Amino acid sequence: MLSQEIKEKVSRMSALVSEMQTYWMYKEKLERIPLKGKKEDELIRKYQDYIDSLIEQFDVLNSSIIQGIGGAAPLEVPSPVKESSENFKKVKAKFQKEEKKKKLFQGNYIRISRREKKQILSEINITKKQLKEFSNSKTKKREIYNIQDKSFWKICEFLL
Amino acid sequence: MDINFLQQYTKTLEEAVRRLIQTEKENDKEGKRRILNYIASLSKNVDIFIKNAQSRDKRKS
Repeated sequence: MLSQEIKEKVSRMSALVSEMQTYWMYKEKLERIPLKGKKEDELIRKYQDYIDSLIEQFDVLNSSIIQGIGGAAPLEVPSPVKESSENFKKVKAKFQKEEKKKKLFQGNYIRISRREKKQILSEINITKKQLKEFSNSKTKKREIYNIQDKSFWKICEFLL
Repeated sequence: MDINFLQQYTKTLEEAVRRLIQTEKENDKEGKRRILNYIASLSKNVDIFIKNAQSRDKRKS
């Protein structure tokens, strides 16, 4: 399971950071000694190498998270925006037969009752909350425009 | 390299994963998609941070 894998990686990363902090503290204590000898210098270098190796391990885990979810996420979880747009196409085709709704779907602002608005929203399978998000997000707008149905956005504006 | 930054990052990541598991339990697909995107962008930023810090450390040494 994806979430479980991420959880395990994150807890390993967390353990690595605690280890890093411990050795970072040791290193800083040694660096604060005013007259350092060869032994101290060598130890500081050793700690630094160990910290670097921990950071490398951390980096590997972090990169695997990006690779793991970067490409998989959109495929695994379908975008509700696209789902809604698919529904919208079907509803649009159905409403083309009704004169009043046909005008609405052509982008004309017509008088429409709250109940009718609610009905259209449920047929498109979209919530008011999602509509608000669309109007606030450029990305969502772009996603909708990518489907190349500009009346979708117009109707979202109207139904808000 | 700022260790405190990495510690802060893992804490945020732990919280994000906790929420991710919650969305999975609730079968909240939109929430899951958003959190996965959030984790991906968070990890990318830290990836850039680590790469920059490593090249800065190399230049120093």
